[in-house]
Amino acid sequence: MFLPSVAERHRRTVLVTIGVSVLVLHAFVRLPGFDLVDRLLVAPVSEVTQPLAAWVVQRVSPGEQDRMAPSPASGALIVAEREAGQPASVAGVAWLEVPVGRAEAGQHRLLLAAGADFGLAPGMPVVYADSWLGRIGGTGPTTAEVDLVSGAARRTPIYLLGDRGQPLRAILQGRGGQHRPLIRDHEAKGEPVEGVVVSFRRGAEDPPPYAQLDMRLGTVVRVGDPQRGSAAWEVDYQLPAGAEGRVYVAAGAVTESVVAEPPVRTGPTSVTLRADGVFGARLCALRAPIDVPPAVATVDDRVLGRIVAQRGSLLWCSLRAPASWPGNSWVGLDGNTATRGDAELRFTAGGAGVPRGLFLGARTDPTPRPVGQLQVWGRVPLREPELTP
Amino acid sequence: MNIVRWRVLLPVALLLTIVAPALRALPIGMALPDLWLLLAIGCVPARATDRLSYAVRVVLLLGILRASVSAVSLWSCWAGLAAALFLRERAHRHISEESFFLRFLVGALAALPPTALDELEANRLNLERAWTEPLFAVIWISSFWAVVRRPGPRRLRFD
Repeated sequence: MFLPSVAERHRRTVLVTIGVSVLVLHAFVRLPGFDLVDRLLVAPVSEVTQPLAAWVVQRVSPGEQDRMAPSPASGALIVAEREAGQPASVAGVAWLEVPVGRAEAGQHRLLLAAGADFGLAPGMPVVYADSWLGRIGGTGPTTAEVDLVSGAARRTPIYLLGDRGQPLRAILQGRGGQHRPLIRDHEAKGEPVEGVVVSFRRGAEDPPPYAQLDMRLGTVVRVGDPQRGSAAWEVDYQLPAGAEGRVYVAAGAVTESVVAEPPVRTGPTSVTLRADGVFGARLCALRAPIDVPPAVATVDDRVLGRIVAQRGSLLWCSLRAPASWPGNSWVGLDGNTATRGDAELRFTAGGAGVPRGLFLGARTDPTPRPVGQLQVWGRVPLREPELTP
Repeated sequence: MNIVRWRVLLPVALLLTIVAPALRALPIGMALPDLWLLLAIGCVPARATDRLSYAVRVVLLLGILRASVSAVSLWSCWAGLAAALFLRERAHRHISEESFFLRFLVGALAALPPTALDELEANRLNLERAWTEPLFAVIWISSFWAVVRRPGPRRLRFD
């Protein structure tokens, strides 16, 4: 047997070490521009191996769909949110219905899926039913930002009932973080009372019709110790669950449409492989000629799973039971009310490109299988622009 | 010799690729070993740098086959297989193969990079994995290497 010299072996060792290190490094950090190689090399081989593997999978485990709860009417969550969130009509105010693209409660803001193209402008009031949420902070061509009242240093004029039965004018100041907004500068003709509802008050720059808005911000909570002079009044402000789906913006005039539904592309798809060679039945491969980045796949009007990887027209879909979706990715429907609590029926909460309101299933349903009419949904086009304040 | 080896390796690798998704879809599927890693460990000699081109070709082939039936990226497949063979060789050169435990250790060392990379991919794909899955993957490869690499009778050894 031919044995290379010591120098030659060392040279090979160094080369191999460098090669393997680069490969491992790339696998960890994913240097850009290498996905094309992945697609070009793997796609032709997949054309051969996947049909054969699919045939074997079909023989070994046919994968019949277990019994599942019947699907509710299409868009049941959207209908419920629309019914629950429509504010009372006020003379001189038109309500524009705008879907929320992304709710960032931790940052005290909502990113709306409509912007200047829909007539939104900074300063417009944003409400949900009789709950005051905040104002439009900035707009881009197709998106707008809502500054929630709880955000740091946001000041909202309010009314609240004092201990002598007289309405007190005050300012509600947001503090950001986990802190509740603080009542500041209330009139001296009385003291706030714990548990009293706080209402919106028209500001100096607001148009006169806003004086008719009967909007609530929460209830008064007393914190601190009055004996030590450290007492303060806070407001227990909560963002309604439905407001993470759609909000209503007050406008003086309306455009042709009062509903700004973002266009989401859908297309038919077919299953090519019902299991993954490494991760098993948690993934399935689909083939779809959709020309936008895909977000989610559905089977018979319920969510099959999120699209987690893509190689050209080949998509990998992650299959999950409704109960195992992360807590912030679903919203429940309790009767006719959207809720973040435990509910029997679950829907997608939206965000990360996934449209809101797609039916996930009942809480106890098993993992869906790709058996039935399959469809793939493109990502919600939510390009965050440079906002113009 | 080389042609004969490829004549065997190619069909076996293709067959494993075709049956792997079905095996993984079984209820015990996630406790089974990674077939491509098993094949790479089994068919590439321990001193892989002495047959570098063969080892490289095996890694390239098995990586492409593995990625063709999985959402795992091709680069991750290549990196995992290459790192496994590389670490096995480095450890094998310095650790005695007389002891079962040491051979098991070498196998475990070889199985670590691909297992870690699979875990990384699972995180990227937002997949939940039981902690036993990587453990089984390492134990399978370690046991395989500890059994397969068992030294023969002393009288037959040249070194």
